Amino acid sequence: MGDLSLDAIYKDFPSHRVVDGISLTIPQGCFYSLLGPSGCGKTTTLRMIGGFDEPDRGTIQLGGRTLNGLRPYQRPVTTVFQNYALFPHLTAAENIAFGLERRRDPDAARKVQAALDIVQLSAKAGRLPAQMSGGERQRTALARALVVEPELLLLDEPLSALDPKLRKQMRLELKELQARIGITFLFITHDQEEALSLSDQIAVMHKGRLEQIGTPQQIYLQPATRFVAGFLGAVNWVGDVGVRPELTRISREAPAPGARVLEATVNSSMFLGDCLQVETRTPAGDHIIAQIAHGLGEFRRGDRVHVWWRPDDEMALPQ
Amino acid sequence: MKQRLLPLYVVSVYAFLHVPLLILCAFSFNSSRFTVWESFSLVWYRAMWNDAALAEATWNSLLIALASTVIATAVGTLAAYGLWKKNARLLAGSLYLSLVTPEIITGIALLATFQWAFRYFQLQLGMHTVILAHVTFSIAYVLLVVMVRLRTADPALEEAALDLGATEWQAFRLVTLPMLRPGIAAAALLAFTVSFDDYVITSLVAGVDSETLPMMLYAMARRGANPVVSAISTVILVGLGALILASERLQKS
Repeated sequence: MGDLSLDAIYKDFPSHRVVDGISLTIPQGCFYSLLGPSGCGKTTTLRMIGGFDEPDRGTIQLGGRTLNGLRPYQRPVTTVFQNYALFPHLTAAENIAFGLERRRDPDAARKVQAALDIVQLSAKAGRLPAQMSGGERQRTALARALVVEPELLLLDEPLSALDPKLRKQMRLELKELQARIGITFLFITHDQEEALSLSDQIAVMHKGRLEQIGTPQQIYLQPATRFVAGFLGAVNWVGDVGVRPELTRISREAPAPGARVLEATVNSSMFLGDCLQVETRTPAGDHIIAQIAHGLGEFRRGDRVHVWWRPDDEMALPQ
Repeated sequence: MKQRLLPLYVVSVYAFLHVPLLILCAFSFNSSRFTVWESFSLVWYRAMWNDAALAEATWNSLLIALASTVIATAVGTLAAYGLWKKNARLLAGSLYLSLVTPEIITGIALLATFQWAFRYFQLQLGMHTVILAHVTFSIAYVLLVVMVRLRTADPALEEAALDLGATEWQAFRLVTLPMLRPGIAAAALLAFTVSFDDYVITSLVAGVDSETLPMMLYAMARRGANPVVSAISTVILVGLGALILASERLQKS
């Protein structure tokens, strides 16, 4: 057991460079997310750690042991695939037993039962993948990868195939499971909400490079680049300064001194359920959006207002 | 009007396709040797049953079909797997070439190859050359049927097997092969059928000891209408029809 470290990893595809010099260290026991838009190289990075692709340059180490050149079955790493890749001719229990049988584990039967219990699938042990719901398949894939006790679990967008309600529930289960068993999870996603809510650490990837590494708070509140700021949520830009809409206030009267204030005219007002979104335009032509709680006033198109925020909430990111 | 024409059209197409076979079938149960109906009889089936030369030809045909099916299915399946793994579209597409090559050309080419090879080895035309020839044309059928099955397979399945500790060979044996089983069985049935049916190529590369059932039928038919030929044909039709139906069932599952 130990930390996973990537050192200056490069990978070229025939048409372009997919991974362009990535270095990062994932502490043991960490829930770590690799977040980025599709095509940013996150899946290729995961595949290189799993052993399905080899980096052109750079080393991958786990607990000080170099993984480069090892076949997938020689690495103490398992994967939950995006579409689960369950073996269609095997039942849930047989899918879970597959890895243990390859290792000739004498305790396989008990471990399979324990794994089925952990993911609450004991009642569905005899079902084929085609007879299971999306959530059950997801749990089977999770149990199958965890039962062989890997040092590191790779998860390739494991929640993306589920419907939104189930996705939120599985998110909780995943977080709880990781806390309980304590092995390192490397989670690949393009969904910033998923990454923010699950992770201890997030690395944001863009065009094959790392844009920023940090805790969810750091990434969201102190983005290192304009890309990170924009990828994690909406931003109001005023020159080199950005501020999140939910930290932007709006009022008819001028606020108390100390705040950054702009005068603006209301363009539109929209009810979003959990908040009211007011879109305004300053005389300089900047669009400023404020998301405010209900009961803080009503705004109509053409109203003259003040939009303002605390200087602490500003993100200074030169273009 | 349209509603009435369509069934009529369907019936005539099927009649065009199947009436000759039905006539053949019917006259195999005729007591007369001529194409005039007398009465129902199994006399030609009895004659067929008691014909020693016919039994030998049938035995040869079965042996050749079985041997070439086993070899062609094994080789063809592995080849299909290799082409799929390497994503070799052009190579896979070129297989259609061997399906559209006229049989007579394939036969002549094989004969020329064998005769050329025999100058270096002390061998003659016989069962082995027929089996080899059948393997060469059956492989394309096997490949195409197995490829259809592979095209719907998720490449992540083998990766998942490797990920869980299986070697490449185990991943193939434990994951891909079971998934392909229906396709392989369908391919084998098809290979058996095309081998059992073949006349043109077989007649070119057969030796004195390897007369097959289609060759014998051809020889008998050339000597004039013979109800025994009708009886044999009926038995073959029913047998191969059952195999084709089974093959279709397997391909759908």
